[in-house]
Formats: sequence, C-alpha cells, structure tokens
Amino acid sequence: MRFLVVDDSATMRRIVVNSLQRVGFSDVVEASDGAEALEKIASVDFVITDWNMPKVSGAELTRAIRSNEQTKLMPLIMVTARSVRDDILTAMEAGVDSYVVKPFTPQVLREKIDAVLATRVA
Amino acid sequence: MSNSRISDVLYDSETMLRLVDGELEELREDVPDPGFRGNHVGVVLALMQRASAEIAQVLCTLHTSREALEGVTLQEIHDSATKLGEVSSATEIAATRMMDGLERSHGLVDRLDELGALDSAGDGVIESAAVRAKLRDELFAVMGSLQFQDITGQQLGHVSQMLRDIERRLHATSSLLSGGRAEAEVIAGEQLPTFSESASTQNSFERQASADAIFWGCQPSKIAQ
Repeated sequence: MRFLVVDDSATMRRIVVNSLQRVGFSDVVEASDGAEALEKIASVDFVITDWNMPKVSGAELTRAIRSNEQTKLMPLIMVTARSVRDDILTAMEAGVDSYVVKPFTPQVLREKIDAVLATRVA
Repeated sequence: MSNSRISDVLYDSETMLRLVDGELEELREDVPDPGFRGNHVGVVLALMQRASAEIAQVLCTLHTSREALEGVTLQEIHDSATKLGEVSSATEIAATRMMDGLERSHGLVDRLDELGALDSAGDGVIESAAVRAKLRDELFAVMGSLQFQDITGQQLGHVSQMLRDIERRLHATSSLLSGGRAEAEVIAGEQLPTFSESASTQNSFERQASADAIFWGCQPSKIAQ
C-alpha cells in the first residue's frame, strides 16, 4: 500500500513518514502542498494530509479528492494541529475518513489507518 | 495617563464646550444691535464657534481613536503574550524531553557495549536485543518531540497575524489624528502565515480523545462499523 504524505513542513513530513515506517508502512511519497498532492494522487492508495498549507489547504484537497470520480473513495486522514469542534466538523464535511490531532504518536496513526481500512473492507 | 483619566478629561472637555457653546448662543442673542456694536462681535463669535466646532471634532476623533485601539487591540496583545508564553514553554518541554531521551540513549549504548563484551560468553544476546529495541523507542520518541516545531511555528504565525492587526489599527489611528483616511493598510503581496489558532503541544491525549468523540459522535454509521 502506497501512502501520500502532504504537509508544508518538511520536518513534519519526515516525522509522519518515519511514523508510517515504524508501524509497518514503508511505501511513502511526499507532497509539500495540496496542489502537488493532486498531481501525485493517481499513484497512491492512501492520503495523510495536514490542514494548514499554502495554495491548496488540506480541507480543499479533501474536497477536490472527493469530487473527482477517480479518487472519491481514496482513504484519507487529516493530521492537524486544529482541534476545535468547528474545525473537526468542517473536516468531516469535506470528507475526511479520520482525524488525528498533532502532536501524535505512531500508535494513534496506526489505529486510525486500521480503522479506515476496516471500513473500506466492510 | 490611565484610560479612566483620559475618559474623564474627554468628558469634562465636552461638557465645557457645550457650556461655551450655549453661552455664545446667548451672547449672540443678547447683542441688541449688531450693526451698532459693529460686525466685530459677530465675527469674533463666529470664529469662536468655528474653533469650538473644530475642538469638538478633535475630541470626536480622539474618541474614535480610543475605540479603535481599545478592546480588540488590548485582547490581541494579551493573546499574543499568552501564545508567546506557550511557545516558550513548549520549546522548553520539548528540549527537556529530547535531552532526557538522548541521555537514556547514551546509557543504552553503554549497556550494549557491556553486553557485547558478554556476547563472547553467550550471556548477553537476549538482553542486547531488548536494549536495541528500547534504544529505537528512545530515538523515535526524540523524533516525535520535534513535532513541537510545527506547532510552535503555527502559534508564532498566530502572534504574527495579531501583531499585523495591531499595526494596522495603530496606522489607522495615526491617520485619523493626522487628518488622513482611517483605513487599514493592506500590503500588496503580503504572505500571510498559515496557522491554527488552537495549535498546542499541551494535553495532546485529551485533545485527540475529544476530537474522536466529536468525529465519531457525529457519524453514527461509522461507530457501528
């Protein structure tokens, strides 16, 4: 399974990539914003995206993915520092499958990935 | 000068101006024959009234300026100080965690050296595997602590935006006092920071639990799955 990690912070991308590798997912590609992510979306199976990014935000990226027939079922987790209710509801409306609050642990990320994949199987 | 003191002065000045204005009106009415007393009195009265109107306008401007600065601006300064305090605290906590993790890692490497010496006798193999696993955990925990950089970056972005807003308000106030237009200055091409106002390194487990409760609470179909 190939993951796409989207975050404008290079440090955070490396932390997410290392977290994925630590919980058993080593096939990962990266994008520094939503626009770059949309260019790479066709080659991946799972998206993990930040929210606050220049150009195309994580919420906008999610809407774009959900509105495209080819990618509308793509598993997607939002990993963000936003944690207030309205933000979470906005992310849900955009179409995220799960929501991880920064700072996170690899274990939390793994739990969310497993839960999302379980819904896809179901 | 405190806000209440300034407010008192403005109030007193306004009251006095109203009294002066009233007196001037009465004086104008009391002049029996402006032609006889000469136009001088009328001219002087008109000048004084114009001066009175200008002073009243200045006071009005001061009121407006004060309102522009008070409230939101004071709150923003307070919030900025709070955010900077959080950044300072988060930096200190992350640095301490990383230093603790690195010191423990050094200890584990030392222990691996000891076990390496024992390996020749066949006594250290099992424990060395456990120590290596522990060392990986420690090193990864250090990496995880680096998430503070992203969060404090967003907190500083928030502070930066509040300071920009204060700057615009001060600029608008300065324009008001100098007779210019009281509009916020927008810098063309300004790169606005992207940030979350709720970004925090504190209580991460509680905030994740709260997010889960909101997320799954609003999706009953997903709970069943």
